[in-house]
Amino acid sequence: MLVIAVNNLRLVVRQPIMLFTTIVLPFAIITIVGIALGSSPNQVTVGIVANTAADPLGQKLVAGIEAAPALHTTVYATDADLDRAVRRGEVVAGVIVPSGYGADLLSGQSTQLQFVTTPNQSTATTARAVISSVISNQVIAVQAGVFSSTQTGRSATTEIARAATLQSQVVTPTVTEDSVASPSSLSLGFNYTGPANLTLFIVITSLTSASALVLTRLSGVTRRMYVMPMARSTVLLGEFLGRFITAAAQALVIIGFCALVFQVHWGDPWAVALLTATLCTFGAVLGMLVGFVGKSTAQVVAFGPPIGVALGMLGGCMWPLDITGSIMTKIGHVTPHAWAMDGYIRLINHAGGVAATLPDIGIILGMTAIFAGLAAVAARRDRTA
Amino acid sequence: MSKASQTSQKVSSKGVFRAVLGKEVQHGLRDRSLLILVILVPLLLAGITTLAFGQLDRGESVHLGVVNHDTGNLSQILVGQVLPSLESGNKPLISTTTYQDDAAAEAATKNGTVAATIIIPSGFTAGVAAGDPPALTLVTGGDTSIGVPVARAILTGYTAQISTVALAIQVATSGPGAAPASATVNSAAADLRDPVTIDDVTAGQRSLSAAGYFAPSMLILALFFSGQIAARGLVAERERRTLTRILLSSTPFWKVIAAKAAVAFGAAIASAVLMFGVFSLTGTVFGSWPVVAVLVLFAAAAMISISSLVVLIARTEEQAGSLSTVMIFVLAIVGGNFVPLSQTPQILERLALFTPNGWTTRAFADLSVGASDPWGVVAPALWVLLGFTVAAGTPVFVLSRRMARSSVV
Repeated sequence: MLVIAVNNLRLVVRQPIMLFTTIVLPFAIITIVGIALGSSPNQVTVGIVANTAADPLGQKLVAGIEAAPALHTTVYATDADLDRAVRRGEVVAGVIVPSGYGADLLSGQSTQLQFVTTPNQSTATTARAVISSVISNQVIAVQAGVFSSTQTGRSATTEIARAATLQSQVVTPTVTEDSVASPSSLSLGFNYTGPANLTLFIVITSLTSASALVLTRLSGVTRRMYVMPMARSTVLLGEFLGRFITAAAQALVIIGFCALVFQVHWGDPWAVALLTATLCTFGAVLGMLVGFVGKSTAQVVAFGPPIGVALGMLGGCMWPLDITGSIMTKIGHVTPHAWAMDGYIRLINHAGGVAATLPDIGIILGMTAIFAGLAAVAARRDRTA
Repeated sequence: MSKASQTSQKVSSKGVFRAVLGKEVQHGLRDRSLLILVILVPLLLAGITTLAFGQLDRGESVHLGVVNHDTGNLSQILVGQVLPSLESGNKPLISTTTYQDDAAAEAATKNGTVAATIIIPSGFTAGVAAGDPPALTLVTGGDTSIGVPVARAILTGYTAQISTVALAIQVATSGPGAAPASATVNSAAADLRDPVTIDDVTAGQRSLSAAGYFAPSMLILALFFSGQIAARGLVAERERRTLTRILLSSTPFWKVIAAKAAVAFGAAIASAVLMFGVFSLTGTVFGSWPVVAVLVLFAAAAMISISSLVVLIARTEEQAGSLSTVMIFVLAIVGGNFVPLSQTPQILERLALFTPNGWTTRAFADLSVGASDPWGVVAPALWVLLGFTVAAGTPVFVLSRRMARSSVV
């Protein structure tokens, strides 16, 4: 059994490309996705065209929009660039600040901003609401001054200046925020992408490595192992052990890397170890099943990676299931990925230890048992054939 | 050499192209790898992503909770006029549920029944009039929808309007030549509206639907996967030593490559036809079909070249599978195929322009929303894809040729 396992490991370790794809490249993906998710959580992307040269009020408006916590802004040089970005979905909407914006306001005239969006975009409405609130906050003194000018006949410029001075004496109602979010609520960034890619790559690597087992079967090596004086279970366990150790090594490196470099606090170490070992077991068993069922390496290579990606999508490894709605969240929990993610997120948010993750571990083990049974049947059929 | 044997060689040379092509298709159908790549992969991936991001089409509505302890007119204005005033697609964006007490509203916020809750304290209107308003409270939970930023924006605008009215009255009724304080002035101030209006301008003829974005995105992934067929076939033939036998039959090497590439190309086109056909039946509009077809052809050529190059770097099929998977994955993330562009940070948007799939995704999005000049918007992408095809295809040819020579020697 150990000889079979060591041989499988040797096949991986002796191939630099396999080591690279198994160990190194997941880090690149974790880094990229972690930066992507962590940098602008819950923000709406908007574009701005700012024709605000020598226009302090216009520049103040642009700065206010850029500073709005709900918005992530990109400045474009021309209206055509902004239009193209909106069409392509690079930004949800865009706003064009016209030249003369400040001059019009200070002279008491109304002015217009152009809000560029595709039809029926509810997310664009959010951006519009936020931009309106920024404008409302910034034109308080201007509005008050213009009003006073119309009521008294005094100069608008003078009244606006007086209003700016008197503004500090007006008490604005404040808004306080209270959060009642539960501790297990997801925080994005590396706390998400770490466990997500750990889960994803354990399964994808296992699926890809199944082609080695197919090759072993088709070349007759497996058949020769069966006729040797050892139990069939020894062969199966050897195949399992090699894959399990590969997956566990990959997991260990990813967990360590995320903890050291990205400061991911994985939580209770025993719970993390148990959950990860369970996931590695599932990956190894899945690899064996695909390896025993696959009729050719081409079939496995065609089938494995896309299915691994699809399972990752369903299970919340590409994006949080929270954003997909309740139906997709339920469908996603058909995969072990979703249960693993639930367990890791709960641990990362310090909500419990081993006991808290036992349900997730139990379900993954149940799925593993089913696949293990199928793999055993497939191995028996292969041996008979 | 006799004329008969020369003729027989030419016939067998022509026939080898068909034979290699037929063999690849037969093997692909027999082990179902071709069916998986052409049918299962694109539809599965596109279906999942379209369902996951389907809310883009449904249009999010915002459901807020309200607890109103105040009995004055200011709170009535917030609840009855301000909140319902936001519209999306000519329909109110916000719906509200009124709760009688804070605890019930907080529970509803925590469990996600409402995105957030606005609590208006008792004496709010009176406090504003007296110049000492109590604070409004916004209760938030773990909701990640647009509800919370919308609620914040509404409250910010609302409190700004209250300040504007108060300041306008103070400025108008103070200083030399001031207007006398009166109900008329107060009423006029309360009717103040923003001097800045926001005019809507529509870009494109349609909004970008989830299917309109993700069907082409996942097709691109399928093109990458099926693009491996040619090169993987060569690697497999080399491992099985059948490549030597094919080349020793005096077949020009380029015909062998062309036959395998034809299979990959055919699989790519079949995927595209199936994908666009199925999603078109669901009402998704992808744009002008001739332009879409040309874009698919150029994209297929680029993805096949790149996938083939990655495969040929590997020494075994297992290596090829691993390396290809990771390459496809990284390119797809950077190129914006898994997450809509509007939800990726600017740095990734810029990096996407170094990927062929990034350009292709943008071109498809442009066509889907109905750009006024479809050929004009895809032209830059077509040039970039051609560049990738040449840049990756040239070393593919060189490496294949080297592999063939080393097999024969």
